[in-house]
Amino acid sequence: MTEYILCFILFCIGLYAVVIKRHIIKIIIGIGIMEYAVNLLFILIGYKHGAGFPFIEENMKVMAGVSMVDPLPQAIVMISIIINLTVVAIMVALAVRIYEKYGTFDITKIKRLKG
Amino acid sequence: MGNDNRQVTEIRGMSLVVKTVARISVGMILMFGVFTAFYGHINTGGGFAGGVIIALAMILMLVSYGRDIFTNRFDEYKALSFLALGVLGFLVLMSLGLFVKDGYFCMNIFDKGKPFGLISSGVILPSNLIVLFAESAGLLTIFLGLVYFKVWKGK
Amino acid sequence: MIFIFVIIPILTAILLTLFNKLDRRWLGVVTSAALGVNLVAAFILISKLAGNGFQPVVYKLGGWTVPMGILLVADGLTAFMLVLINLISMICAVYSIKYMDKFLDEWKYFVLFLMLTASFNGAVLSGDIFNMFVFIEMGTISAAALIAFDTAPEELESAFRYMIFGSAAALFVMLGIALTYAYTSTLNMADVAVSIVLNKNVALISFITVLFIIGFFTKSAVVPFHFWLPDAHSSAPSPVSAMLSGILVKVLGLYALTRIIFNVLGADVSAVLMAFGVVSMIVGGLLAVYQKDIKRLLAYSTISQVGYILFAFGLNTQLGFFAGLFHMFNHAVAKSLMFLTSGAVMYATDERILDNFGGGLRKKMPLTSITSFIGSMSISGLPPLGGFWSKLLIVIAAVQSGKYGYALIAVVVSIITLSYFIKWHKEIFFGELPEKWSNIKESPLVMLLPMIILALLCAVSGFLLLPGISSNFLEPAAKVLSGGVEYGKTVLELAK
Repeated sequence: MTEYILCFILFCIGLYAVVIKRHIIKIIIGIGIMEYAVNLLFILIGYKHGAGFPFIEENMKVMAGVSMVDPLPQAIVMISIIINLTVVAIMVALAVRIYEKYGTFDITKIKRLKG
Repeated sequence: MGNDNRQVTEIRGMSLVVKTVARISVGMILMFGVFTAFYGHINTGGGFAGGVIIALAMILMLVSYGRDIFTNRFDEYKALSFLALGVLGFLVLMSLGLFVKDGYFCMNIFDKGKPFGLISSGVILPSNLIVLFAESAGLLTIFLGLVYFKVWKGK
Repeated sequence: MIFIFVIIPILTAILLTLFNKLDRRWLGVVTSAALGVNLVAAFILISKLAGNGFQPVVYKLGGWTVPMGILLVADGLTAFMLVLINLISMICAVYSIKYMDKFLDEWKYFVLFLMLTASFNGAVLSGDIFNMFVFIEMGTISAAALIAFDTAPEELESAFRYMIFGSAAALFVMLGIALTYAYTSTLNMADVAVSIVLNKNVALISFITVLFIIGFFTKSAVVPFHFWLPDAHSSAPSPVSAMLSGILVKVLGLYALTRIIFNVLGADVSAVLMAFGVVSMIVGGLLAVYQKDIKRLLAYSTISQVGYILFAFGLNTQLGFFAGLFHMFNHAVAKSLMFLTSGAVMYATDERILDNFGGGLRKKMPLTSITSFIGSMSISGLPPLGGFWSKLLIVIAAVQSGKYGYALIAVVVSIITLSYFIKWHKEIFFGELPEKWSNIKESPLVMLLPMIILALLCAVSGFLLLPGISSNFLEPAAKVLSGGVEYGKTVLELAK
């Protein structure tokens, strides 16, 4: 039970970094921390005590009731990592261009649009 | 005395130690990536992970030798068209199931072979290979886009 | 065969990438042709569903059935959204053939536009929660790349802010998906609906509902989470603003919210939806009166109208869902028309601050001013245009459920809407023509034709309420939403 609560605490730490910090790169790292917390929660959900990895080896007899970890969260986490990779890539590209145009990384000074 | 006519060519990239080690290890990284993709139906990994490893090998060369080894041969439009060809190949592979009678979109029409062999389990092997090609092209496009930005700014 | 809605735009995008050196006009024509094929397919889908009594059409990908496979489900609500998405996408694609003259690298614009449309089509067609999430993320990334298309400093800042809000919201939704999987050990929407009916743990379902509500409220710009919308919709190129404000806010935000909360989880959140809807109406309307930029005013007006739709969905009656969906249609058509006309004005005069116009443009651009007037009066609710009927239905549904105070607020906000649109028109179109605008011309024909089509749709959309048409188009969609978790049983029967 404590693993799941620690995952939520990690998510809240990432959310704190996104909301409070002023440097653009620290905000991007905050989004990365939130993503790690969600992927970790997904993997921990599929775990069973005393179970092995979900593979059938060459000379193993497949018996009913041999315990394996759930393989579906592993596939979902792989897709989620690829999606978040693309999100971080486009945020970094935007940050590089913003630095070229504004000259600063401080998000309180990058506020030309008002109202 | 005669020094003012000499041109100093700037050496880009990192130091000689890094360049030598990168040259030795890039072949092994590429082979490991292709192995991960080929054995995706038996072992862990698959197309996605293999593609990321191959793109990492190219990024290793880019970082240790400077961007000049890429700018002459490979602009980012070529990488983008490789990505488009990869996605097109994947769509064609998935549409092969429609030509069989009573077929669905992503259906398995290849022979399933004998278990634990290399050529087995139907459509998973070709799709792993095509995803390897498309994924490495995609990640390389992203990285080249970030690196080439400085080139245009300098011109 | 319903996967072609997603495959045709992606295939066209791939072909445009490979042949990107073609002449500029061919790119736009090919895009519009592909989206036209999609629109025809959407109409064929509705006729096929109508002949079948609106039973959902279920397509099993790969032939694998329910607990192991991915399903594509097309029922009444999906067909309604597909017609709306493809209609507005095709019209905006035709408009951008001429509008993107002033930009560089149009092939990148058309490729991103097609990927955006493919992601919308995929999100409404999927019968699987994680599949819908993947398409939502694809739409977010394409929209952010389109917002920053011109790489002016304000556009980059707006795109960055949109990415932060969008991806934080998506991570909240992902957390909800993880907890749903832990509870029911399946990710198929119909399967989750059936399992939750069998054993209901109220505390966990409430927590999951709160997570989904935070995520999807941010994506549809409901008031405490709306800070990305005015910047994003005013910095994008005009056809992209029309797509974002007309469709993205509704498909990725409102459609996903109602599909998950009413059809899958079956939670009772009427009070929350109504309260946030009313606050959105008031805040959006009041803030729009003070704006000086023509597109920022339209963006705040979108926040206000999304409040109307959310309030109508929160009433949780059959007439409430019907009124909400009808207002979704009217607002999508009218707001796209307003963004396209403001784009035409900016194309002709290169000016976007309201105080610098001076008025009188209707002498030089008569057709543009007539269509703009029709669009804005439709949003404000002037009879007999379409917006009047949908707002009337929302007020009647509110009175029928006994919420007299909220109905009165809806009428008052409608008067505020009328006031800022009259101000918009007075500053731009009516009055005396200043010297500096004496040699502008009317918009080109390729840009005028989409605006005229949308204006005609605004004017005749009251006819959607006729019994013959509404029982094929709007009523099945409302029936799906008010049926609640019956969706699960129906789809599982058809997927055997």
